[in-house]
Amino acid sequence: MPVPASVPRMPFMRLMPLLLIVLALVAGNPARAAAGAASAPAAAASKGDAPAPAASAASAPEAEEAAEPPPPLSPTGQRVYEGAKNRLVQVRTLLKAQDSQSSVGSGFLVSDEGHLITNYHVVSTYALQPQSHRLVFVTADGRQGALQLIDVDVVHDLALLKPVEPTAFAGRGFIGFRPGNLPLSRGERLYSLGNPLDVGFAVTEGSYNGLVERSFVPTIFFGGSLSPGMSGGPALDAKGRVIGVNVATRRDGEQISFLVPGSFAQALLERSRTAKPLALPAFEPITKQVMTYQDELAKTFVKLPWRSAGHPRYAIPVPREDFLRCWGRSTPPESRGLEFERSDCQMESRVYISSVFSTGQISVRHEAYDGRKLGALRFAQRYSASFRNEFFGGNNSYLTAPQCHERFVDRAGLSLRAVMCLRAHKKLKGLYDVSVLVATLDQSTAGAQGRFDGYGFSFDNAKALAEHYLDGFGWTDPKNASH
Amino acid sequence: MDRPEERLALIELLERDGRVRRCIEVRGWPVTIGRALDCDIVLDDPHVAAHHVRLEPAESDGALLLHVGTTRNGVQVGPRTLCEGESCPVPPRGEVWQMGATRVRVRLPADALEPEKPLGLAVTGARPWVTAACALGAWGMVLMQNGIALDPGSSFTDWLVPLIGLPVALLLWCVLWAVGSKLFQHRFEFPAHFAVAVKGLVTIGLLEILLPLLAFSLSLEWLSRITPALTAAVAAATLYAQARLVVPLSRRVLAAGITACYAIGAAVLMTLNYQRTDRLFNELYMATLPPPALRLAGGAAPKTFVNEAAMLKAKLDARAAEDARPGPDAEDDD
Repeated sequence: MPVPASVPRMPFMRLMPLLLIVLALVAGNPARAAAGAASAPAAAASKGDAPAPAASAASAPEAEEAAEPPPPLSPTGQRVYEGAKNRLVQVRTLLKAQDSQSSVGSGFLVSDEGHLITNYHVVSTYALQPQSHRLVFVTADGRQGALQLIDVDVVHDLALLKPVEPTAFAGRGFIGFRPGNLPLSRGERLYSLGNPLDVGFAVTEGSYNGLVERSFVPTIFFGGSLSPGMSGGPALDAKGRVIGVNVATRRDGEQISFLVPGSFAQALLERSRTAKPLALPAFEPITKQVMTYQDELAKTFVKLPWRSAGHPRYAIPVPREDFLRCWGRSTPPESRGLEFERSDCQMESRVYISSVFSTGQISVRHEAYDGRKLGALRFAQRYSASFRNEFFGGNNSYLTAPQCHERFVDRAGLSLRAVMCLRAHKKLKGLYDVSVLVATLDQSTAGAQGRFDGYGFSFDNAKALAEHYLDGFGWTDPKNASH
Repeated sequence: MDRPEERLALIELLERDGRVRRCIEVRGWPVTIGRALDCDIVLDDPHVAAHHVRLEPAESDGALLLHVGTTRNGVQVGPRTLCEGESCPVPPRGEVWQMGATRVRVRLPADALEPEKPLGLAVTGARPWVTAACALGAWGMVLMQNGIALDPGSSFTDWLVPLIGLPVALLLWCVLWAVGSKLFQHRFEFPAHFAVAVKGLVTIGLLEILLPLLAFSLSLEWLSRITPALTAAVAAATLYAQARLVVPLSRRVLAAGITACYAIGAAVLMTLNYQRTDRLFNELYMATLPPPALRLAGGAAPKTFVNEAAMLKAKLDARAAEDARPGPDAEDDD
């Protein structure tokens, strides 16, 4: 049956265009990046992957800054750059066969032994496809050498590298971390360093704006411009100490960029300072890290009480906006047909695994329908069409096709039709995507439909989340139960 | 006709579609057939010999025999090809045999006559009032569907397609089939095609409405899954019934052909579905949600439901393990 235009669509992993976050600030081959499909980081990164002239508005100033004589920096900025330039590198992922670069990012020295910190997404292609890629560094003074991957922290998008040649960075020193007991205040100047779009090493001034609100993973809000290629570079305070690591920017705003707090990079260094290089492909450690992350996320989420959807009849599960962001929408006033109110809640942070795959996210959505203007038959047709108009993904290289279970569910006397679909992760073994689709079935001209999606959870957590979601449904007022 | 009592037999020469092209009365045996001018029946078929066949009663019992003359192509009787000099009884009950490219049938007075074949609507055995009811029913269902899909206060133009477009499309469809009948059967069987088409349409419409309702009511999801396959089967049966009115093939050959097409189509679709989704049928879950009063099946508690869903784990794990085996590291996503 065709879906009439008046029925709101409930697309899979709906991303509001305004909220598009460029997670991957890695510059790469435009063709390869464009091949990446659904995940926001890859799709957004591909925009910035174009050569400098075609770069988006957000990145153009950076390109010019590096290509032409730079505008005068503040004396502090000059000093910070001078102090750090010998400890900065560009991290290149090369195709083994033809030695051409498939993506580039930045990195910086954090120890005397030559340890480098960069983003995980800068080296993910190498970490997952070591048979066809290799990593090299290029310093500001043009020295090059091979790199090896010591450890990753996929949850915070960090990687620890070391040169294959132990003395490659001898005598260069390292950039120290700002101690944790010296908190920054909002508005303090930060200096972000890196090699934007492979144009040349550059420094960008911006300000510290605290932590990003409603983010499950702590992330610093940097009021400055970051461009593809600067990923993995350091953001320093006026004294040249690491505050964070460049990680992402938003294309829908001006100078809204993100940094991974330096403490996570420091922890990664301390944890793996003496570790041997990772056995590649690195799916095993990545899976282990995502496992720990999802456990914490699921337990935190299940503990949070649902908040009210404001529906006069049903209790509909709407998450608190602790680490999800919700957007609402309702029927346009000129509608002659089905009236609805919808709410879309989604975690904006997720765990980047590869240019085509991210996980570790939750989204919750519902639509409350009122079809009293329509009558029972018309309402049933639209209500069914909306229930049918859902996508649960297909078989791909990371996930199996979904398998679903469906039946009538009675929740505290409220009659529901429920569908629970699961997909197993092929490369991150033991993780599953879970979706629960629910429609209330107690009125012939009104109802509510909801959907919960959890990406990358253990089976037990997937079950717990599904049950938690179903338990969120019920009557707002027990009197209704007799209706 | 003159002295029918003297008529010993009729020899009929047939077209490929079974129509009689030429009919020759036999008033005495033997009868010779061939291209030579001294034959009793002279043919202009270049694949026929000068004296191809002689028909003559046997001396012993008077049964009519077919003797093959001097010919390269012989005579085809059923599955057998008779060669020069051979003979056999003339095929009984007006069965067709072939000499060269000419199809021949011999009718003898003792042969039983086939019953009279019906014409027009009677071909399908459909009663006019049933056809009329089906036509109105099918149209009514389309109109109802359109009415349900439209919001209240829609304009008249939104009704043009089901009111006029669909009846016109159905008439055109039947006219095309009737033209086919005219071409092959030399009869413009419009009423028969119309009867078959509306019966098929109304059956498909009813299945599409009733099966999902039943699936919802009793929570028998498989009924909803197989609905497209069943309606496709009804569509295939309708096509078979229409083709029967057109193609001069035997009922069995036609039925086998259409069944084979349906089976192959279904097998291909199911294989593709299985490869892509691990399911035979396309539908992932039942989505028909009619008014709740129609629900008869009971419900489960959320915990029971989630625990039941946990049974999917084994299948998912097996599939993930199978697909995770080392292969090309191409990356794609949905």
